[in-house]
Amino acid sequence: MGQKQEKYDAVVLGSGIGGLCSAALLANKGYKTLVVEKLPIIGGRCSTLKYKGFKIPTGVVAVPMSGVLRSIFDDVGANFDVSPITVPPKYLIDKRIIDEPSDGQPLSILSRFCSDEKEVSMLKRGIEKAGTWNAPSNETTLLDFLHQYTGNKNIISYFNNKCDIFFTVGAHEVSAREYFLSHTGSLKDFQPIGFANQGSISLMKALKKAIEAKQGRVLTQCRAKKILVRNGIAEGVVVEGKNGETTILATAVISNTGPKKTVALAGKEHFDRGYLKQVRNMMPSLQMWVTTISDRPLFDVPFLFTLKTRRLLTFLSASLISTGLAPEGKYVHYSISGPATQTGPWNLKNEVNLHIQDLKDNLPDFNKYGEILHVGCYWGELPTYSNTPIAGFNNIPQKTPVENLYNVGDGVAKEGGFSCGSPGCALTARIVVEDIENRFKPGQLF
Amino acid sequence: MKKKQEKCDVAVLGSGIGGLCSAALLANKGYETIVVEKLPIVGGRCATLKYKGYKIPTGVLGVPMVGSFKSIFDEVGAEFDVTPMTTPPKYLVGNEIIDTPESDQPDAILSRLCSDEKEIAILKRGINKARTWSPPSNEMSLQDFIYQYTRNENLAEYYNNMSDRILSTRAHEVSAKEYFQSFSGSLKDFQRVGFAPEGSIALMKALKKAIEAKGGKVITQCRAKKILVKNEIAEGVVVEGKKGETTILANNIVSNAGPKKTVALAGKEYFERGYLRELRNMVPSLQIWVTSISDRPLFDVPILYTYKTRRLVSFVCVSHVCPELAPKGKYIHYSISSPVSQIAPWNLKNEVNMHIQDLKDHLPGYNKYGEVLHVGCYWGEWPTLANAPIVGYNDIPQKTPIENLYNVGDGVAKKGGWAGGSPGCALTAKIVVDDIENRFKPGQSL
Repeated sequence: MGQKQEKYDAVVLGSGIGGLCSAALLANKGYKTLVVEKLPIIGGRCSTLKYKGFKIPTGVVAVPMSGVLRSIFDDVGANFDVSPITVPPKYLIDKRIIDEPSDGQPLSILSRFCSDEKEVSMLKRGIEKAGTWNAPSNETTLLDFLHQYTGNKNIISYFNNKCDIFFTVGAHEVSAREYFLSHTGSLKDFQPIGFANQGSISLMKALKKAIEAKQGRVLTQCRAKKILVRNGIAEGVVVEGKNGETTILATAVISNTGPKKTVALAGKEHFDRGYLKQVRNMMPSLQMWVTTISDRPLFDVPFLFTLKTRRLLTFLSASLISTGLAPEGKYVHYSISGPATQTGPWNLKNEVNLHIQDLKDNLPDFNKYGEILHVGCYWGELPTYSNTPIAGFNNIPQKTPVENLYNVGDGVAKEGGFSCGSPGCALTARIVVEDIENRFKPGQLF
Repeated sequence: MKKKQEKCDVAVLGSGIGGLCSAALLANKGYETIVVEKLPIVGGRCATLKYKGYKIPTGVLGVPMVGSFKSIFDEVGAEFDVTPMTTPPKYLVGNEIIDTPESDQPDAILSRLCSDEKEIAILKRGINKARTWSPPSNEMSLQDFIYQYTRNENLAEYYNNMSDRILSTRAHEVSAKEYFQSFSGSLKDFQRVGFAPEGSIALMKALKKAIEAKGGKVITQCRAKKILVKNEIAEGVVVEGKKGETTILANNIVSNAGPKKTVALAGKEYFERGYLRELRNMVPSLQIWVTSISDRPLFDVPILYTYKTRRLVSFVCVSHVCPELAPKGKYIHYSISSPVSQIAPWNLKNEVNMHIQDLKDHLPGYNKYGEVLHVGCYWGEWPTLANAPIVGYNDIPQKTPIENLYNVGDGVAKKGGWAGGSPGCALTAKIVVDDIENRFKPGQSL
């Protein structure tokens, strides 16, 4: 009954973006690395399901073309098979389509929403000040901030929409400071965005390939059962795979399972109460995406922002960019919504219905030709963002109170220069890998 | 009735450390700079009062010999007339003196405080981890942190005293994270401390001289009456001096008057509510210092740290370092205390009485030979530290919501990598001057 034992420099629990990016960077730097994933497929919330030839995202719908995520692919030599959206987005407001002006000025769209040039110029000046002088107080919401300059409903809806897409929180809930700091953070990576031609899972497979090319291993259907801790130091993990239980001894343990699960795996007796309180106070946010299919395009631009709707935020006609996402002659579309409030309670079924009703009301061709293939959402322990950027919520750092035990992924993405979505997760991997590099060399055991 | 008008690049309100450091740096870089000070003397809480030949500090007792404060003197060519303290401190636990060679502090003091070597080893391991792996949660007090490893009262008292001395907040109120981060902040500047033989005011006069050498002006008995704001941009200040009112137009206003006073001077209608709320939530901390005199030294080394007292945390026989601070043949001593809680209400008279009672009870010879010359404290709008480093309190940034209006001084000294006391104030000046340099050239008008 002697348990099998293996030794690694780093063991990574979970194969989401944070996990695979960490592992790829580590393997590329010569660290002996093992990734364990409980599911049969890798990628976590950056994966793809196939149904009747259509590709359905498990979370990540579109990916940024530049910035931290992309740079990891370049660093480790993984194939980044993504087609960018090159057409400017359009806006649907009160059943009217509004084009993004082509003058290249970031806020010139505002004049299309509001005819009072003076009001627009006051707002622009305020926004410029928030960017170049000083971000507003953390105690001010984005909505409060906007109301200083304008009461125009179209403009407010525009910011509400942007805010909700990137933060999954409305303008009335997000701290104005976070919102403006985000523009210097990973949010800028999202210009432009693109679609992975074979679904987001192909990106994760490319990272897996890069890990394996450097002698790292990625095991699927292998569940972490326990993180081993001695004297406040992580020293390995017990996993259960197809061939039974194995003890993996590792110098560093990187968890991509979310901070709560990490605590449960290690045993909460190893964590200080203050940390446990921070983890308990995490405020995950809900975001929902609907996959719609049709025999013809439902809209003529790939990227449509829907303003002043009940819930719907954006409608992405992905097949216009990447034909590999649907069978030949068919079209696939992804739409995104969030509840009107993340702090108040919401009813999931209602939220889904409102999303679909918005599709029907705002997209005339949806009623005629569209068909819903899939509705997806995360909530509870597997949030869209671990901590909604509301004043008063603490960030969970990547380092845990247990030495050599790190978290990666959006549960520990930094606030302040907001890091969200795929680039935010990739950033946590970069931060953790840099720290590991500073602490020990490949093959060096403590 | 025509008002006088002047123009300069930067107007500085107040001549404390933050104000004079900013002005000296700016003047040295070629900015036309005017400092206005309402009192007849410069220096604010870094000045010196004279009484019967004794030099009584208005706040700053010892100054760090290295770091951000000292570096400003070097940069602007101001004389830094400070005598370093070379004798190691002694420790008074109850009525027992513990004296340790400098080489093995603080390890030696820990062994003296607790005979159980194993308990000390566990505590040291925990502290080392907090410093080298990751600081504890912000939701945990320093006392909670220490109690993880030991319940030895002497050891707990050691950290209590340390926390009180450096953060003027006791271990049960200070966030463990702040405490440990402070060691990578300006606290390390305090590793070499000295005293100005002519009193701290000599340092402020040296900065004034450096400002004037570069064509800057420092005007005393000149009170700021109003900060002028147009379109959310600061454009000058109305001051009232010996010759009546003058309007000073300036590209930048640097206020060393404290964030609350700054708001009052500009008019709170220019500030967003969130910012005002942050200011309202500031938790200033009280610290009391007592100047005692005698005909003979009351203690044989310059610095004594006192444990297990009611209030007293340290006693400085400063005449051992700078005999110039007292008339010939006389001795001067400074002692420091804070209330047990900065959150709970306290009675100032009680606090002073307990401080003096501690001197009498714990310092042999104080009753016979010591005499209280002066009791000083700051509280309310003029705190020792702007924000006690307690969980849940925001930092006030140096930049205000009004463009080109900055605060300097310890009201806006950064937490998190704690910056306190003179180096903290000097650091705010450096930060603000860097920002001004990036935004304006000398003589560049708006």
